[in-house]
Amino acid sequence: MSFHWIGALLIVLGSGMEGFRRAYLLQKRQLLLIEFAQSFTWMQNEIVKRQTPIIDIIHAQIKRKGDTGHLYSLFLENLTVNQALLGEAWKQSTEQYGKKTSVLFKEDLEWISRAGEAIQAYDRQSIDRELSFIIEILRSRHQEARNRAVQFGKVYKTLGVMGGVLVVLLLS
Amino acid sequence: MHNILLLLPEQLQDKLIECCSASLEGVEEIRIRLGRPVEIEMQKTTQELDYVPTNYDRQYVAEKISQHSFYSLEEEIKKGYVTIDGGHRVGIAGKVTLEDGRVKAVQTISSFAIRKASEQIGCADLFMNHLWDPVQNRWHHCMLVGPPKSGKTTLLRDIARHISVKHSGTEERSKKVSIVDERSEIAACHQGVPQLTFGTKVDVLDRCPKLEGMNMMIRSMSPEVLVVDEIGHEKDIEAIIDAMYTGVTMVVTAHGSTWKELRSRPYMDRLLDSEMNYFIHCSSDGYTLYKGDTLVEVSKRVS
Repeated sequence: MSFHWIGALLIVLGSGMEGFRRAYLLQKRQLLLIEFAQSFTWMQNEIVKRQTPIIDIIHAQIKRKGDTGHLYSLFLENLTVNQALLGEAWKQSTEQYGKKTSVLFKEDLEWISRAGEAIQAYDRQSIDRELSFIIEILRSRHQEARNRAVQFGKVYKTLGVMGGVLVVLLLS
Repeated sequence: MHNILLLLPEQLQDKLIECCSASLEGVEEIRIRLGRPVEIEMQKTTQELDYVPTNYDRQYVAEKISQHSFYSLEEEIKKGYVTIDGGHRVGIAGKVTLEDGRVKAVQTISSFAIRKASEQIGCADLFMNHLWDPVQNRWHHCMLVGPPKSGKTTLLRDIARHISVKHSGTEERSKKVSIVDERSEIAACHQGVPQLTFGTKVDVLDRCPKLEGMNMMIRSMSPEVLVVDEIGHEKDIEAIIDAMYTGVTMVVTAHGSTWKELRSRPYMDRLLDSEMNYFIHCSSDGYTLYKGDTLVEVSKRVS
């Protein structure tokens, strides 16, 4: 009898955890999008207002904890070790980063990838214009992700737990 | 040459080495034009490479000369060229953007002209004894005249090097030299540091307009010899004459195919009639030193 209870508990727990995991991914996505938007804004200011060399910008960004720092360290590696050009190095980095993460959507990564094309322009005005556009898009995607997290976060959690209970009831 | 090769994409490097392996050091200029064959300029010949640069090559060169940060070179780009490590110059042409009618930045690049910094240590040695005035214990004023690419700046640089170096036995000839390098051509400064060979007594004011630079150097660095390239404007000449009155020896260059051509220019006769007595005529064949109208010494160029 006690084995049945333990099994039922595990089903509810497993299903509930999957619900919580999905809710967490939604929450994490919006955090990542705003983190990237902030990092691009910082990079834009450094380039446009201070003309800071890109290598210095990358070194500063690597100090950020979390996924943005990781992406910039991949960027630095592609740029210096693999000797790739700016656009190419950034594209490769986002691809490598995309393979490791399941949080961001494909479209999110495509927009992040476009920053590489933006920073390879020769003049600050073009870089400014392109980065502003990308930042704007990331912010609107963040807004959408936030709404989605609020809207579906609770649903996933509830469905996870309730789904587990339902399975237990059906099996009993 | 090594520094220049590093700027080029691998394929272009291979083509260049294949084409000029025997005379790589003789390469003076590399012209990279988008969609047209790369041109290599030697001392007297021009060679076309079997290589047509693409957008990738353009991006490669632009990123290499700027360490991936082309936008950070805006100030240099406004003057049309960038000085890279080793003192070499990269000229840039393309589409520019304007602000208040002045060039703000380069938006797209269509051509690069990579000009090797040529340093010929010792090319002035033959003239230095003539330019020294043992009575007054100072150097004579001197003007170098010649058409473009005749080696004026190379000779000027070597004169500055010679004067700023202490030579054993003639230590009294070593003087404080100030160089006003408006176009980073004489000392080829990279981030303010001269990339070419000079003695210990050299101060360089890099990218500073001549007129302002001469006054600044006289006031702040108390030079014994002042070196200025490519004079021509009325105000340059006035400033040089003023500097000569303060006791500074002037070594200057001016564009001009012949002597007469120079004299026919407005205001130039004032300088020529002043204490400026020594002239070096520069041409692709070599250098000729005159004292007034009298030929003093000839130095043939070794190619």
